[in-house]
Amino acid sequence: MATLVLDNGACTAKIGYSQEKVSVIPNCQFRSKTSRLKTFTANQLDEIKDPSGLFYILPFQKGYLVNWDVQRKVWDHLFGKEMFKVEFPDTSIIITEPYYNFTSIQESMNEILFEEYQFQSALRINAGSLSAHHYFQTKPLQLCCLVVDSGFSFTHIVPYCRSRKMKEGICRINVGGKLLTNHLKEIISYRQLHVMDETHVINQVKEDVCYVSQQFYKDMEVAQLKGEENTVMRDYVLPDFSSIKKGFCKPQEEMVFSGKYKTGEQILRLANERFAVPEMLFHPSDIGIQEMGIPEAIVYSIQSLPEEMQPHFYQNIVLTGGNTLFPGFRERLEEDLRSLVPAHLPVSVLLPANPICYSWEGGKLLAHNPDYDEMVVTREDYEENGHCICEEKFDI
Amino acid sequence: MVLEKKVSARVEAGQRRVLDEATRQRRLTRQLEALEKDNFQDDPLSSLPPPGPTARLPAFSETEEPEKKKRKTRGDHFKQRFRKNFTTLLEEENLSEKPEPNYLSAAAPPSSLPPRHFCCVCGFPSHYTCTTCGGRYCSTKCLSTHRETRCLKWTL
Ligand SMILES: Nc1ncnc2c1ncn2[C@@H]1O[C@H](COP(=O)(O)OP(=O)(O)O)[C@@H](O)[C@H]1O
Ligand SMILES: [Mg+2]
Ligand SMILES: [Zn+2]
Ligand SMILES: [Zn+2]
Repeated sequence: MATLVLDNGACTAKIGYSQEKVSVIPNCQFRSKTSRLKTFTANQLDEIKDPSGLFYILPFQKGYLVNWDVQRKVWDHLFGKEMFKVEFPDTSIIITEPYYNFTSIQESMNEILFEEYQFQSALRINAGSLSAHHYFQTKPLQLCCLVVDSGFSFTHIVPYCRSRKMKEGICRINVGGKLLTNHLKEIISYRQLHVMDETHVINQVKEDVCYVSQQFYKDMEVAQLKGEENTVMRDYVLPDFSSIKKGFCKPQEEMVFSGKYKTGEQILRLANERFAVPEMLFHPSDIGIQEMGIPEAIVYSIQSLPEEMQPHFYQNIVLTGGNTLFPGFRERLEEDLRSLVPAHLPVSVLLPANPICYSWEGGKLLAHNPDYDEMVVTREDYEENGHCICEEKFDI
Repeated sequence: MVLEKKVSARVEAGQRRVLDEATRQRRLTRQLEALEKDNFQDDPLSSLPPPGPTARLPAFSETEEPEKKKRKTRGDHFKQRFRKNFTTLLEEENLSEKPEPNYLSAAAPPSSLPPRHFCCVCGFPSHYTCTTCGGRYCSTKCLSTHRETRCLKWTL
């Protein structure tokens, strides 16, 4: 029997069979200005030659699955013959859900997995629990770990003691990659060029040029300097989707500090935007969100746990989710924690090679675990006992 | 010179409208809600002119109609139950009567660090507050841009 692992993120689905490699696929639908009648699903995005003004249809709202029509279109596509060719009666699925997923969403999930698709068995679990499993598999001597998952909709900080998630320590910051992109869109539109319709393009700008500052006020000063002294400043060449398929940063030696480029491309000039945008993960109050930033929230979470365990958590912090890929993220977090945590406690933050797929990899490991068959609910179980068997077995 | 300009800005402000705290809060809420939006523009599909009787759409097979008809299993039951937005779902969870920890109690509390202020025009650290709307600015140049563009706009 095959096991399909699906980390069903609000931005991308991380999907693959437990014997194979992972694919990262947009978990949404699109419409484009150029073929307005057609709705593109998931990786059909690649068929859109001119994705300017790309329109998103997302199944998630604030990190929770609310639009099942869209979600099922995406899943039909992923499970179908064009992609994973799932043989449902012979397939077990590991699928992720957000922390504190609402009861009605959990029930819909059971119905769709068992009644609609008719999977042979299913394991519903939090993505962070898969990450913790991954961590403990690679560091078998550690007893505790703190999973930081900073994705599209929000950021979670979750302590795990072995396979057990410590619910009282779960802390959510309502800042994620979506908010960062929208904020960047908004400040660029106000300061230089109207890009409010260009979420897709500006998201790429964000991933290409933003970074987490190590010396915030120092970088602010540098970003204000004129000419070549302004080492923060970058000129980003926007794609036109004919001769320039993908945007990019002008190499610094080609930058023109005063006057215009002769080449005639459309340019965005970015200075403090580069680090002020990711800074919201560290100081949400900078834009009026009255919540702790990640370093403070980590300390808050750990302090809610038994004192003798606390040192273990500070030493085993693992970063997952797309936002942790901003250059400088790990270093800054460790530095900020160092100044917040008592000096005698060691602090150690791990950035895995692929923080976006870290939990998927954890799911893959779990599928090969000898106890796996004990953890799933089979379709037979479900048909006999309904939702309550799922409620008993799954810890969401 | 700079000082003088500051003074005159203050005097001028004395005669300007001043937004009350509730309005400022509403404005902030609306700005934060805008950061949650999936799209700024309208759906390209909905912005199509309705097809007239003579102008039949050539690419009709591209629409979703035929596909929808095919797949009508238990779809309708799903449609009602599965079309609730986040706010409705959250209300239905009835969390105020459920034990903690839960979704609401997991929200990060406010920071205890002092707030930082940035110019709402250029994004650099700011030292001054617009007396009208409470927005921040860093220089007379940014203040005048702010007044011309945003200060009293979007206030309901
Ligand atoms: N290299 C990168 N730098 C910064 N942000 C990134 C990078 N790659 C992806 N992201 C952002 O990470 C977010 C998606 O992260 P992910 O963990 O996959 O989210 P989810 O699990 O919620 O779908 C998106 O907002 C995306 O823009
Ligand atoms: Mg995720
Ligand atoms: Zn300014
Ligand atoms: Zn103002």
